Amino acid sequence: MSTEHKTPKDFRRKVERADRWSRRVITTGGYGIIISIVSILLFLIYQSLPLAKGASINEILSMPATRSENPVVLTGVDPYLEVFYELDNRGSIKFYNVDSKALIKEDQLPLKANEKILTAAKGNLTKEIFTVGSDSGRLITSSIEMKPEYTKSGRTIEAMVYQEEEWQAATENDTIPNHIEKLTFVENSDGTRVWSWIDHTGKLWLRIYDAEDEEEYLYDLSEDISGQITSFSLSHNAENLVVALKDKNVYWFDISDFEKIQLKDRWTLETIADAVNYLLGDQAVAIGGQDGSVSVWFPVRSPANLFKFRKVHEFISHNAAIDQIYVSSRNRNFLTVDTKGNVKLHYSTTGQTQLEFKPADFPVTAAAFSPKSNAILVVDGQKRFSLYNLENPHPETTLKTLFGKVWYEGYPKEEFVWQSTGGSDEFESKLSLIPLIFGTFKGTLFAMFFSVPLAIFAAIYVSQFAPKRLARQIKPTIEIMAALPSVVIGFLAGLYFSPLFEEYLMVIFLFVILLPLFFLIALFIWQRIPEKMQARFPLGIEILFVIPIGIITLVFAMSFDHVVEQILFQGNFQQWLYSTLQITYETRNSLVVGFALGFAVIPIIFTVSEDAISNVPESLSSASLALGASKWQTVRRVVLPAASGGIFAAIMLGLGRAVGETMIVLMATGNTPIIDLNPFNGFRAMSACIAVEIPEAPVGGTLYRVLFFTGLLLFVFTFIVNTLSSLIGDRLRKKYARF
Amino acid sequence: MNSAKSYQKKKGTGYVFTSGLGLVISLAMVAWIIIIILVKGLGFFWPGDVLQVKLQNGDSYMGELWDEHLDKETLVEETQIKIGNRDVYGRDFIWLKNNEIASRSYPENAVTFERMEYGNFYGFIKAAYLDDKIVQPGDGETLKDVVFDVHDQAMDTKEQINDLQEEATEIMAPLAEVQREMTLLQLAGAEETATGKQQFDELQKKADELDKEISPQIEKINAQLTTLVLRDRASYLEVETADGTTKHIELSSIVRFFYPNEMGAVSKSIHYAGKLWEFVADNPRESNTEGGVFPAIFGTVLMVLLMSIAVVPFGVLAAIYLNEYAKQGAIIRFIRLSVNNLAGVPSIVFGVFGLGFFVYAVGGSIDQLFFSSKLPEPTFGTGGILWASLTLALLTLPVVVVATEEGILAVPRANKEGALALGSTKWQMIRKIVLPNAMPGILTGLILAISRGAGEVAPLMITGVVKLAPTLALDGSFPFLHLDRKFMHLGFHIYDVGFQSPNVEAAKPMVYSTALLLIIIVVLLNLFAIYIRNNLRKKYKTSTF
Amino acid sequence: MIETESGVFLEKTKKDEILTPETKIDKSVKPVLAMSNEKIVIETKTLDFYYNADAHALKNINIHIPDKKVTAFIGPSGCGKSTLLRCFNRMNDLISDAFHTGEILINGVDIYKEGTRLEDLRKQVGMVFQKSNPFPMSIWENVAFGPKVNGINDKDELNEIVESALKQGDLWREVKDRMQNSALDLSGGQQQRLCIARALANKPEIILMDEPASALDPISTGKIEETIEELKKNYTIVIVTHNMQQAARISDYTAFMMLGELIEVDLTKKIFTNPTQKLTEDYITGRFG
Repeated sequence: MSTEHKTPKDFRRKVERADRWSRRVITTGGYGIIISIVSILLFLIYQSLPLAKGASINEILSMPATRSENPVVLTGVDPYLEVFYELDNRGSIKFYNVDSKALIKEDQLPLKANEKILTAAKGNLTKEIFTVGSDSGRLITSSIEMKPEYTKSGRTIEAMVYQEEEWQAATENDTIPNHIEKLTFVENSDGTRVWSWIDHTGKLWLRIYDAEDEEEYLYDLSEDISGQITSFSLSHNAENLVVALKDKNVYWFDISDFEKIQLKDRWTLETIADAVNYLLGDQAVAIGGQDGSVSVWFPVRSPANLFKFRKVHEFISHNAAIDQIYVSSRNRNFLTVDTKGNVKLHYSTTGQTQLEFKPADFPVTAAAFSPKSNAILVVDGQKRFSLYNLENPHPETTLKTLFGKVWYEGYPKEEFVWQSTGGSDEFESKLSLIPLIFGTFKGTLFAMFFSVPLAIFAAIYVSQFAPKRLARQIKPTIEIMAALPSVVIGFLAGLYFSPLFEEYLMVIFLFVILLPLFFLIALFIWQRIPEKMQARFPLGIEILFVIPIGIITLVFAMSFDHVVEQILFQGNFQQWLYSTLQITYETRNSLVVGFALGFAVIPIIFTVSEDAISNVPESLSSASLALGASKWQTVRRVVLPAASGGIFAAIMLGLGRAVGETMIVLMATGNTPIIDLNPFNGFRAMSACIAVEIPEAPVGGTLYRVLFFTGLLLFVFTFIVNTLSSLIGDRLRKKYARF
Repeated sequence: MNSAKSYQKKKGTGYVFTSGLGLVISLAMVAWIIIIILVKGLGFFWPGDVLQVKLQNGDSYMGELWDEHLDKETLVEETQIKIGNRDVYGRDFIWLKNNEIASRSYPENAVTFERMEYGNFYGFIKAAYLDDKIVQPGDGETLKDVVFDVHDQAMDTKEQINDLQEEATEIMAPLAEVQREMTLLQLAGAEETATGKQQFDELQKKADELDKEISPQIEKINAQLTTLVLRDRASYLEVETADGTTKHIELSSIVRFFYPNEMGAVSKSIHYAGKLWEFVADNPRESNTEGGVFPAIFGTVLMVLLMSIAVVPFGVLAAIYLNEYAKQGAIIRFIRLSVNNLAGVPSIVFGVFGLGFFVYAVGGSIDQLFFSSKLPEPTFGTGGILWASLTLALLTLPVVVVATEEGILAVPRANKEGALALGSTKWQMIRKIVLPNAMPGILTGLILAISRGAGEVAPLMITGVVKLAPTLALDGSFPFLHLDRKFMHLGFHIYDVGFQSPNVEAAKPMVYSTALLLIIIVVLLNLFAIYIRNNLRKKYKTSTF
Repeated sequence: MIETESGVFLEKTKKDEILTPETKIDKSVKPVLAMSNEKIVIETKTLDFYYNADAHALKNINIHIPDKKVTAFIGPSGCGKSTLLRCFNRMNDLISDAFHTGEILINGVDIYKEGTRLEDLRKQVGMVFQKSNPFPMSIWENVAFGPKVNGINDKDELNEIVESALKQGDLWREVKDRMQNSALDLSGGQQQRLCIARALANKPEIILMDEPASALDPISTGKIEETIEELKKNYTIVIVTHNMQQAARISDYTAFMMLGELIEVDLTKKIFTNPTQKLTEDYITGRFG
């Protein structure tokens, strides 16, 4: 070829290299977009998936019997799962290293010779303080501290035993000393300690040490109770005591007033309760029956404004009698242990039995949750220690708690509640998504009521009736409306429109009612005008005709609002609402949101449906007109049906936008997560809830993940709605492409 | 008659008019909102006359007339006055019943003070003090002249104080750095190990040396500062409120003062322009309710710029890939649909993704890898301008992709084939034929993305916007662009000042002005995009003869 | 249309079936060949072309195209003449599912041979399209486009090339004073001649013309034909036309195609006066179209 010399090789090479690189870069970019779409979805799923994960355990330690022959009465482990201890009935406390299984320290409770521990109880969920009751009637209270010490080589746990106090129960004679048969003990956050025990005569005693006034009280509760006691439990705040009897009765004492112990309630179970224990939060009591049944009860306000214990949750039964219940210090988890050595893990709020395992073939003598509730320690009858890692990240969320009604502590019945944070650590977060979903759709519904008719009528007018020049100017105007940042609309709704609505509510009502009325009257008059004269008016006369009607209506409404309010609503509509309908009027209410949100979606619905209507081929409407149909008839019977899919798609798009809109609902509502159709109330939408709560949610926590899940729901919902709308749009375009 | 009626029915006049009504209401609402914001946003800067009212019970108030309405219960007309003087009255506004007002007047010598703290002050100037000594007007001077003069002097003093303080901080900087390192060591518990102890001692020694070196300079500055501060405190105005209470106002705490009732239209206009300039160019005061919004404008612009840098190349590449490289088929159709639908996914979902992915996952890892010395204090593992920009880039990606695709599709197939037939490689064809012709589309996409990004708030709230950023993300200290810093944003400013500030009523005008500014930016960008889009259409109409 | 959107994985097996070695080797060659004693520039051997496995567009094409002559492809619409033309510079490669069997040789070299650079091939084999497709640039830029993408950057050299190409394309006189005007301002006929000039600027050996005058008025068509007349002194021209008179007027050889098959190739005079095949005669005499 003649041009060979003009395309030197290196130029070719350069061009080809550029081509190759550009192909790589562009393809990477293309894959990038695919990856980014997928990664958003996957990340949301990945973050919310752990919510669905159940509890699981795996054994990290199993240690055979120690040399001592004495049975273990108490056990526990430090927060880092490095050291655990056992207390046997001779008062010997031994600390072992978890990794090496080596004995690292030994200590002794001050027991007399031949004195045996009959019972032991821990008194605090966050602190290893406990009391043992002996066969010589002594209550010995001690505490254990397992403190991390940092040295060069790393962290070691320093274990210490402190003697807190000793107390001798009165004995009737020296030959039969007063045995402490069974014991429960608490030390609350003020340092007040309460012990309650049964002696060998079956009497129930209550001893209180009031740390504030440094006073002691001792009560014999047997006078109030008749019958053999099977189990009893003190609440951790030292205010309540429940006692279960062999005759299946349960007594509830209020001991918050140390001077005056009160029997508050008494009820009968279906079974004998061999184990009762207060759960975290000091409201709910877990009851394990002799028949193996497990249930949770808490006081519920009765119609007479009294609190009565009610059975709220029932769990999967054991096959044998339950003799111990252990409570988590972090959440509403509790362990039930039956006489055959089966252990089950339950979660109170959800009513779910999460796990079931059997550490050994022997009965369990002692068990404990680790301080962070991330492990379970079990000692069986053969003195075999087992430490299980407990993986239970989000026990409080199940499909039922997210979407169903849940009976929360302190509530009179099952309800949908969203209340993510509370005052104390014991607060139980209530994460029902239903109020949020309801709120979202309430706002959307009001917005759609307001925007759909306006936008579609406007679209019909602009595409079919308006003079072309006017239409050309209106379209960009409304597109600009779409560009108004939602924060501006939200701010106007919250700070301008809501007070305005409150003040001029009657005017607005009157305007809405009177406008169609005046409109009809004006129309009637217009139709009286002879056809010839009508024809003389220029195109677009409709608008000039409508404006004065609007103004007249507004003036009319503004001048008569007080009169109407006086006559119909005793002078103040808001007060009237409250006194007759028990409806409170909130300044930032759904009506305002509907208006603002509607304003935000009008341009979308308008633009898309205007496109759909304009895209109906001219040939179709010409055919209709040629057959003698009027312009309106053509629109009604030919154009609108043909564009109906597009209009539907427009409404769907508007819906998708309204559902996801954040700033407007955040600023224009009170953000109260209530389920109430009242238009004068606020609501809390999913989007706004995420915006408000996620900055405060601890990363990886339940709330954090639930909010991610909410985001996922929004994503999926809007994605489906948009896909639907674009598929419909596509089909429509294909259908009319042949014209 | 009857036939006329049925004819009317056939014509559907009623429906036609109803559809017209729909349009009119929609437009009326747009007009309503724009007018409210225009009036309230622009009116704020106009120096209002100061009204003095005397009540029948002898009380007297002075301030700007704010609002009037009819109380529904008592049916009495009421007047709202912005009385300012928060330090005196404890509130900024007061509602007065008209039937209790004895007289209204506009005193010539009434003064409006704009202060650094406690909002406006309305009152009369009694005397000016410099160094605790009263300043008497000289020959031909009025009290007014004196006051302006001493105010200037006080401002000079204040500036000197600021300069000195800055100087001191600069001198102290190396010492502060060493001390910070020492604190970190202590926090990490490294003191107890041998090497840690040694390190600590070394630092201690270094700190002592630095201290010795610095202290004479610091002492000198401090001495200067003390005199200046004393002088500053001793320069004040004696003012009197409407009801005769006298009060001292430190001159340096006055931003500006003026006699609104004496001012004519011209001087008011000058004042107005000055206020407008302050609004766009100054820092905010009084928890954002006064002063300017410059940091917010700056933050918005910088964030949008970073976003554009991220979104445009990526979006354009993706669009080219979808149209020129990918094998057209069901999968690409689905991807295209997904990209379109991504535009409809709520912005807060992007925010959640940004927070979880960029801030916690990516940012957290960066901290672990590169900033572990600063942990547990996060550097990138918390919201910042980079993460906010990337989140918005993802949010606006569909806008850019769709607009670019539109541009690419507008390039006639024949042109592309023509280029290939002349022996150009695919990339040459794209660079010379496709990209130049898709440019308007890309530009439209960019502008729409910017306009969307500028107006978006929800995702930013959780990925790095704050109500008050102490420093701008771009400044003179290395590395100049601080991607980890939090920033201010106009949209968030509106939300924050309007809904989170303690004194919403006083802050409202500021919010209207900010909203107006934001709308102007967004609407202008959109108009520009519409203009380019129309030009694009015209261009290709001519090319296909 | 050639745009096909069949499923991505759908017909794979069928395509593989077609591409078995046997189909490649034996095809009883139907010798629809050209002209003795002429240098042959383009040669196809048992060429089959598929838009996808279901659309068999060219069947067993064997043709020789001689040097420095005008060869016209005629035939009813959809007969594959444009497809065949687009095979010569591999424009069909742009269609994602298309594939072929058999060989195409240009100057004796297989253009599908591994390592063949498309860009070089297309520089050597220029193309003019049915609808003129000037780029939205100036006239000068349009003509200089080819040389530029092929590595010529010297302004003077480019000017020279542009001038000579425009002269050959018979457009120089009309546009020499407004080289920087947009090419879109030219009339339809001028645009098409610009496209021819643009192809010439690459100094090709062969020029493919795909119904170059079908969208033009008779006067412009005449101009184009004159240009072609002029060009054939230096170039091998292959032209697809649906206009038989045009083929008769300007071409030296004519190939008649139908339903993807090459029915007859011969001297134009012979085809139009005394075709061998009955089908050709029927088409020429307008019995079908």
